[in-house]
Amino acid sequence: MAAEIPDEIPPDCTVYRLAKKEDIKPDGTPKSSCFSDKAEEDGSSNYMSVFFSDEIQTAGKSVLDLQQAWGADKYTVLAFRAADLREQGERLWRDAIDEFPGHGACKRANSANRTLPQKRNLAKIARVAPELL
Amino acid sequence: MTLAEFEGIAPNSTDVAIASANGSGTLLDPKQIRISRPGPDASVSTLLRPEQHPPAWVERLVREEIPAKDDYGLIKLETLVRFAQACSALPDRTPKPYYGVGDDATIGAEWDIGQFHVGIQVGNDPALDSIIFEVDRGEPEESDNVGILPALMLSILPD
Repeated sequence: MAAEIPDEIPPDCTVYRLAKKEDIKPDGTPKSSCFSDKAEEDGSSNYMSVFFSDEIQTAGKSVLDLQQAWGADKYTVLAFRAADLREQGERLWRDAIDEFPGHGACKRANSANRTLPQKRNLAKIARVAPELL
Repeated sequence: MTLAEFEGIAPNSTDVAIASANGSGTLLDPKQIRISRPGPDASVSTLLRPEQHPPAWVERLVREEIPAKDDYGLIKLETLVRFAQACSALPDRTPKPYYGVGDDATIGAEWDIGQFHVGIQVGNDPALDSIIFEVDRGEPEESDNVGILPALMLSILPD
């Protein structure tokens, strides 16, 4: 990780979540099912995968690159502010993967599974990344 | 209107019987939906009560469309059956929901009907089963009694 990237996710950092285009409703709101933690039996990555804008930019990449890495025909990218996710009771941390820079985790601050109302509340504040509109 | 108003009129889960059966996935008769997938548990039929006339979209949703969205094969057959049960008693004029399969092995379905939002979640872990009701994009109200879905829907659907 580059030295200028802090461990703590800054409040104004944009947090991206990949979602299938078919999971965006006609009014632009994503389905609540977009915001689930992974159900991995070993618990190693039992969280919701996200990407952080500061690391993406430092690596010279863009939201368009993120979308294209997963397939622009199938996926779109939803955007949040880190502070807004924390206000919803979410915890964020960095967890690098080889496929793309800026990968991280989003999980309930109390480590519980995200409930349906909590998923719905994330759906209501999620927006398709402006760069993709 | 609150979810608590519907708790007393939801059908008991024992009203809906589940029977194992062999077969490749055919509609047995208008009151019975057979769900099947390859594997040792072959198939399960959800037997509907005589007065039930599920919306036309239920069968295809359960048999084809939800499994097609289950990219990682997470959803268990019994989870599909419980989801079918939740939808089978819906008023037949209920529109097809927006639906999805979550990475946490849950099936989600949701309806935006006028000022109302209704969502259900049925999971491999029944403890994750949930229904939410929301008015004017306010704070969602939640119950773990998914069986109240038909009565709730009946109360908000336009005539």
